Amino acid sequence: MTEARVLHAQLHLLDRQVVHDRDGRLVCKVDDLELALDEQGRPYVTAILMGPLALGPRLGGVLGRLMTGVARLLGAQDPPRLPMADVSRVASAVHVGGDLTPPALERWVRTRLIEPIPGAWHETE
Amino acid sequence: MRLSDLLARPVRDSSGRPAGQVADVRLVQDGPLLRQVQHAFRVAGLIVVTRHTGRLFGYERGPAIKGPWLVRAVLKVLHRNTRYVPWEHVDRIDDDGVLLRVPLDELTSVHDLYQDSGP
Repeated sequence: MTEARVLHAQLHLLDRQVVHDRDGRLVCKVDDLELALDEQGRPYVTAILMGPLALGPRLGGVLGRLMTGVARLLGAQDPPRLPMADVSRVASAVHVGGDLTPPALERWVRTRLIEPIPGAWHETE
Repeated sequence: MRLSDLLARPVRDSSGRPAGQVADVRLVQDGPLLRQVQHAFRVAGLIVVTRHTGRLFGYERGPAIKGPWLVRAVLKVLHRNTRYVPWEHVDRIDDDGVLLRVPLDELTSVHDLYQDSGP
């Protein structure tokens, strides 16, 4: 039985880059971590939280409130989450697998602005 | 609950005396199984500092702690008030911060974490 791995949240996880395993794409930064309670009432990490709704409250102050305010104006309800079960490796970056849903703003820009441009599609598509 | 609900929160001991604030949270990968694949990272304890900045750079937890005696001695002096609180010693978390079950004197120094081994 190997000894369980030890990490420090602030030192090894927060603000680290998240990289997608499949294509090495940079996904996000670790803006906050979601905790749940186990049967003994001890907290454990369930997901990585990202985006302005995760970082804003952590920063606090005027900048933090501005960040969350703008995100709510754009219709965001909760920060996007990456389940910890998808995390394959924690090194200098956090590596995740699984299928990622593209951020809402990116999807909107792609469908509304980019795709209508003639020649925006590859010939194979 | 989020991790940021714990970080930088003021900590009081069992008699209500201020013990500092939470600088970091120690996670151990022995929590519940996630999707039957891997264990979750469980909150094992809090690292509490008395300094106002509340930020640590990890020297007191890195390879330096096993380094040359002079480095060790300097770190020991710099972090003499940096304490480790196992999660079992946390009584509750309310609007005023983290309340502990134990008096301040019973808290161990962060150095004691690395007497044997560990990252």
